[in-house]
Amino acid sequence: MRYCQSQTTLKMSTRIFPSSWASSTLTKPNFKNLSTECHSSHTSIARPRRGKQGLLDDLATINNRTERKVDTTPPRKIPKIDDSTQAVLPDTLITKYIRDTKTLEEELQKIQKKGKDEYETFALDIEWRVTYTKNAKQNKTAVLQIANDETALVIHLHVMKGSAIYMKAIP
Amino acid sequence: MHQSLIDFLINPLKLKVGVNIRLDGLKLARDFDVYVEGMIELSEKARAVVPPIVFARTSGVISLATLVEQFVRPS
Repeated sequence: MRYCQSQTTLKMSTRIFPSSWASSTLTKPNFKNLSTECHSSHTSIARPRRGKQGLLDDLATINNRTERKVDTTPPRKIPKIDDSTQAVLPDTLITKYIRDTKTLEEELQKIQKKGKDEYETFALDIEWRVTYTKNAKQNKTAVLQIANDETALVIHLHVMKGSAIYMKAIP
Repeated sequence: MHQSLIDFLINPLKLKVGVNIRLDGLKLARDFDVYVEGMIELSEKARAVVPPIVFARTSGVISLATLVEQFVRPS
């Protein structure tokens, strides 16, 4: 019985309008009016017939649109790099092919003009014979190239004489 | 590999520049246990020097051919 009673009271409370609606500023919304407005707006979507002037206006608007679409600005071009950032190739670049440890030691000392504790830049590249089979063991590095702005050393590690090629570095 | 060469490669003050040099360093580490230090990626430096539109089409490593085309002019 109690449960039933509570339900009925709830229903009653929902039916009752909030107290704010009773005030003078806020009035109950008129749903009937709203529905009629909707109908009227739907009918007004259809364009009224217009004369010659209306057609000309339409034409003008279309022309304006096309004018806007045409972009007169030139396309973006990749800027040219200044001469300051470009490097000039040296006239004489000596390449030296090295295949024994004695000359290697000498040439490495020559190429490093500054001391051990000073910064210097070199170019480095390595080459090896590539195996194209899947999961196969890759070949070892064959050639190591170190270049300065004057000389380039091509060190053929694969045929190097003297100390062992596969000597491991001391950690 | 000779000790003098190893000393050169290990020295972090002797900067080694190249395109995709990370792979070269990995290869040397795998083959000879030489852990190269002072490596500098060339394409990164190239991007830093020029406006970003120049290399906008390529992402990551820029090939040496395009770098030479952009930066080097014959004497």
